[in-house]
Amino acid sequence: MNESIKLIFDKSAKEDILEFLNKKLDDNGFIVEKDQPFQKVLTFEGEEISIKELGGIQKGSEVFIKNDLISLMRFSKR
Amino acid sequence: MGWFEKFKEKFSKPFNINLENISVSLFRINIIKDNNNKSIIIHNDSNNLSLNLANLPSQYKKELSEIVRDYLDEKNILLENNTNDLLIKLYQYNKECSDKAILNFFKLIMNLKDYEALEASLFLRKEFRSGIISGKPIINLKADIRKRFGDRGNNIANLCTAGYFEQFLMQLYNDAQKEVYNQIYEEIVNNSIVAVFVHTNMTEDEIPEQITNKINISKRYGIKFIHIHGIGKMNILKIKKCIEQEKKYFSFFDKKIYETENIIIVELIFN
Repeated sequence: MNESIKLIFDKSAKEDILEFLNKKLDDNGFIVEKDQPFQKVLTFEGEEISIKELGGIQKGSEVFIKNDLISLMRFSKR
Repeated sequence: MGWFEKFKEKFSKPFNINLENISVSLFRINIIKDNNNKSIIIHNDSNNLSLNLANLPSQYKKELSEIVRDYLDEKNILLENNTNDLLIKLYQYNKECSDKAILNFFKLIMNLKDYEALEASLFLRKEFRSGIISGKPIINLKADIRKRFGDRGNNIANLCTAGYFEQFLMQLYNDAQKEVYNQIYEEIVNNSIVAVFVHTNMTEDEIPEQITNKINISKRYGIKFIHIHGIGKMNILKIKKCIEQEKKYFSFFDKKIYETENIIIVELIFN
């Protein structure tokens, strides 16, 4: 596979992307499991994440990535 | 079948997209949601294709959802486009390691939070100086530092941009006793005593007030200078107006002014 072919998403499509992955939002805008709405998804640092903070997703129990500079700096060193 | 092969199979013919023999160095498929645009948008540079969920028929949305899951299953990272751009820059920054000397020095003597704030600030500084990121994105990224590390992080970011870590603090650490260094360091990062950073929300009246406060603290540590920093035309004007209007106040200092089109630094030396 050509590694330089990337799939990315615009922030306008965030909720749809979450739906593709069986996730949804709770009343406070935090990302939760669709089938278990009391279970919030976590970032690679074990933090809850809101849709506003969503920067990306990686497989490996679906790790969610926050979009702020410090989170991305830490992520870039993994 | 890989995710891209599946994508080609499901989307090429129905939407008349030629995806064979892609020879560009980077091809992006961007998932968007825009009611005012068509279902597939092929961009002029041929490096980008947008899939518009707002007008994509439901069967293709279903296909796309599978493709997204396959993409992740193949150990790819699915990123929002601005995050993708920023992460690429961070990987590049890590690879180039242009601030290695400063980071290696302070890694040994700083707490982890300060170190992370410094590292993020150095990255921002590099991007700002290279002109790659400017304007609003810089403000937002700097806000990330403040959000995570508070006023202390914000001070570190300002001090870093102005070069205080390598031009003042490194020297101070080498020259002063550890205890003295730690006290001065804490005053500098907590209260940025050696500098007044004039920002949009600061009034002209506040500038001499801040200078006086910081001088009083600096004198305790034998520091005999203070700098006033301003970035941007409005802040430069504010500083110059302040110096003009408060002539008597500033006459007590030896004064040096460094100015470019977008930056002003006023050095005040006192006894």
